[in-house]
Amino acid sequence: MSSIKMSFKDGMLNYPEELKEAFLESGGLKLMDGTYVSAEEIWDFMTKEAPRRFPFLYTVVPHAVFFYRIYHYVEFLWPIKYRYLLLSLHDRIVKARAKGTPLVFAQGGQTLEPYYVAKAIAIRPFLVQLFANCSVDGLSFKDLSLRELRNIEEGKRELSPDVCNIIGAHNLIKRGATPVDLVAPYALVRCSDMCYVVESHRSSARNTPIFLVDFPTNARPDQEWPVEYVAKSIRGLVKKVVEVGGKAPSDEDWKATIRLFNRGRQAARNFVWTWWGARRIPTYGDDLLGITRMANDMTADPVAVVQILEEANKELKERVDKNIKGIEIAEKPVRLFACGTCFYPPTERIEKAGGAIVGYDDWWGRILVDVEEEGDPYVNLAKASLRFSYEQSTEERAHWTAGQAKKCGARGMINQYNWGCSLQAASARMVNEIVKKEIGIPSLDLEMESLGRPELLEQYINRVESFIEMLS
Amino acid sequence: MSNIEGLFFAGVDIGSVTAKTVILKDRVVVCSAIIPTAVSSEKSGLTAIEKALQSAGLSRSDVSYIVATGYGRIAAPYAHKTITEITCHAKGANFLNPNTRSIIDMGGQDCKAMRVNEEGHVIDFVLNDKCAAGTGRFLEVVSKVFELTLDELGPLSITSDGRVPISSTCTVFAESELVSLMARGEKTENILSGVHYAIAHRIAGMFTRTGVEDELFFSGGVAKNIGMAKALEETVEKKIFVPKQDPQLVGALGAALLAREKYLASNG
Repeated sequence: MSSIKMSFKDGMLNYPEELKEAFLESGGLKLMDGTYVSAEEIWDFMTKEAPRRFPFLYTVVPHAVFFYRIYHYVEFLWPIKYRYLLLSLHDRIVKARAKGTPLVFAQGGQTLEPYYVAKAIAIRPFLVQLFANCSVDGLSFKDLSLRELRNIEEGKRELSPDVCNIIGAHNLIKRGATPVDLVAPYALVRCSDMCYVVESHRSSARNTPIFLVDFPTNARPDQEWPVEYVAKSIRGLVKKVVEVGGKAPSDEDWKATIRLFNRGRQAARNFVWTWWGARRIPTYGDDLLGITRMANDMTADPVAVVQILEEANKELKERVDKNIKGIEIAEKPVRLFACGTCFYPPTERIEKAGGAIVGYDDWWGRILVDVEEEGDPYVNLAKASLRFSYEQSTEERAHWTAGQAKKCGARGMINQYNWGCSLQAASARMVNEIVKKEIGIPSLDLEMESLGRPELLEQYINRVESFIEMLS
Repeated sequence: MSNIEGLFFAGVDIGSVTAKTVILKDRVVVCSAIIPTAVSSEKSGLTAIEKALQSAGLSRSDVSYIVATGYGRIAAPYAHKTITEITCHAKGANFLNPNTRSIIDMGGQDCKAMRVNEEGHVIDFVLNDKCAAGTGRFLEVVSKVFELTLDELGPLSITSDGRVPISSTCTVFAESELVSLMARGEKTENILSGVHYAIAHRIAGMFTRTGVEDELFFSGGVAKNIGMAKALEETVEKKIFVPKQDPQLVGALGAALLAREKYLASNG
């Protein structure tokens, strides 16, 4: 499919009617609760209901920073289904909880099999915020920004002004804006601020149960004790999920869940590798991010997500075979690798400046590791988790990052992280220096302020544009 | 080159505190202007251009190409092209001193450290992180504490006979420190010397990330402060070059030079 311009009316974008036929032919989505939503239903939702309920996503706002905002062009059909999953997340979770499915908060670098195998829905900070944002109809982009900012400030007031911006998600849980039944993240090195943020829940009046999956630092998957330790933790996690309303998994449940997630990871890997191998950059950067994101957080429905990932591969292959370029990407853009967590570059602005984000390290490291399907699932999950790039020493992680940046042909690296993210702030320089030494590309270090604030965009884009000019 | 002889090119640098313009003809500065940036960046840029042009008896229709730079460049619809101030500063510094290999630009609200090659092309850079420490704003705060003008700070600081160490981390904390030091009777010039060296240490920290080579070009409004130039020279251990032309105009000059290049590229 070549790029089709979105329709624009009254300051809002929408999917053009000329796209409908192709979209209907692509079929609907099977959901994990066994129901089926047809392409017609998805189309009606995305073109009629969603613009009315969630105008913040459809309104043209030059300074918007959130990545799932509607783009000016449609280059694939699968993002329409992905955005459907995002915008229907609130309604789907409400429906599932009404039937007894618990909602569990997960965070950091873990995979989500243990939560889903026990018949819970797992959501990370981004989906916690999305749920809350979509619980109110008619929010403009400005309303949304103010709500998010107020939320972060509230969270910081209770804990510390130095806390990571992810406190916003925790504040939503504490206020009950997102009705989480269990707070159960892995305490990973990657997200070392997690522990004291989780502690903030202990003082909460809501008394949401907490289960911290302890995770050893500097451990290796070929050592016995960390594998046993993490496996034991995961057993405790699944048991806790069952206690709050999940279902004890059988061996078959485990096999099916791990197989499904592996399928998703494989599909995501194939997509990224095909994208990297294209002669011209085939789409705008948010599509690449969307794939790795979906394969990680599963958007509250791994069955639907895996279907979308597999469809995405077919669409991409066709585009790459026909040598179609992303419409707003320069013919020879400055290829940039994005390193760091919890902040996503405004790809549209970067592309307008002559750059292109061609790879992300965040979540990509997890997608590269499959979980063994035979044998003890807890041990297998432990072994897989211990192999994630972010769970290695900073030095090893840096070598891995250099390898990935080289594979995707990056000429520069942007290392970005939030104000308050101690781990990333401490490790960024070492990672940059090792990458420079190993593959000779420069890095740009960017420490960002509160999430979602339009004004931060100019600080960010000023530096990134200079970096692009320097490299071009 | 003959098709651009006699043509005028404009560079406008719209910063957070001032808007600057340089008009070039045949790579010679014809006129320039510096005005305070008002609420509207767009109007400020235009006013700066008009002021410069009027001083030379020119009008906007005489200008063949305009490049806008600085934070306000996003609100410059009259510009043919916008380029970041990093690139423009590098260009301007290279023009004024071709031996430049490192640049420190200290503006009202930000501070940039750059390394450049012999052609004035940026090879590395770092900006301060959203903090007033190490910028002109810090010196404004200091001048208010001591009830001095900005122009008085530098000359007074170099008369120090015993520098007092000052925190280089945060402008707000440093302001409290100044008040405490005054209260305990420390001499103004010694405190001011400490302030200048605190800023210089901050800058030196930026250069550990980019590296620093001779010659080190000092631009921006703060470059007019002789105390700052001295502190920088000693801390970074490099000879400082401050242009004879107004150091605040380096970015606008670079933008005008780039305007000339872009015009040439697009008009054969």
